[in-house]
Amino acid sequence: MVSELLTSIVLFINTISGLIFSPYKTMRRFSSTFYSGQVYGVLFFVFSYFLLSNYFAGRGWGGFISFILTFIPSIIFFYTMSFFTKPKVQLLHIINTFSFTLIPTLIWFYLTLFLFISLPPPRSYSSLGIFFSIVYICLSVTIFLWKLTLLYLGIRFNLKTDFTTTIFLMILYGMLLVPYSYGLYFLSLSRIPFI
Amino acid sequence: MSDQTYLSLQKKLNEVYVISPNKFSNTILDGVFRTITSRLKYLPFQIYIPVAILLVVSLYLSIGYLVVRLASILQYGF
Repeated sequence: MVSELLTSIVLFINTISGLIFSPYKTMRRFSSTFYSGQVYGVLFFVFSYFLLSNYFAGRGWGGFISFILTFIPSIIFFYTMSFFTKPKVQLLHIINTFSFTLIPTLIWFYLTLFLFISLPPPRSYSSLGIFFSIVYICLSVTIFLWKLTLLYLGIRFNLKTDFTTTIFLMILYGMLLVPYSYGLYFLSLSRIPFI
Repeated sequence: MSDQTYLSLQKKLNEVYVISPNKFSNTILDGVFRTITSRLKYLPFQIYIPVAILLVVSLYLSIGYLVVRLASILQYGF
């Protein structure tokens, strides 16, 4: 039990470093497998994040409900799309790959929570405030670009699509996600979608 | 070569060819695509960070102080 847990932790750290240094190779490896330990690891950190945001910022559990209401339909969406692209795509492989695309999201939300506690908003218009804003948005854009790359690779390796189809699927997904997220925001469940 | 090594190499080879390469009708486009993707395959942050800095600085130059408000909105948005 302990050795399995330690193995999962080591593999999890190895995966994160792989996603940072060589995302292509890492996503290719994980698109045809299912490592339950690592998926549980990602979900554990997601749950921990909502626990911490509830404790430190009093955000409630709306965000967690919104995450579940977005994560499951997203997987169903890509699984449904796989019927149009390539047959015999296993649902577990999609869950595995899509869980790893949550790593940048997790990092951004943890970072924002940490900054919310250490440097609470709103930002001032002083030179330090502007500098912080620029650095913070730079970090956000960097993480967002990483997220887009992982999503692209996830779709490409799982659904075996070419560049044009992958981009088309990403745009379609975005077009569905934006009004859906607005609906969740309207229901006061979440502000920025955790996906 | 032992059977184990051969099988491992075979597995790697199958992994590499799990998807067909992207091909465009235009050779110039092909070249540009390969150049960009080859840089994104390893250490992509050396591309992301300069792109992000360029985007945010141009955003600051175009909308000015609204960048500060955008940062505040993002900080409240988690």
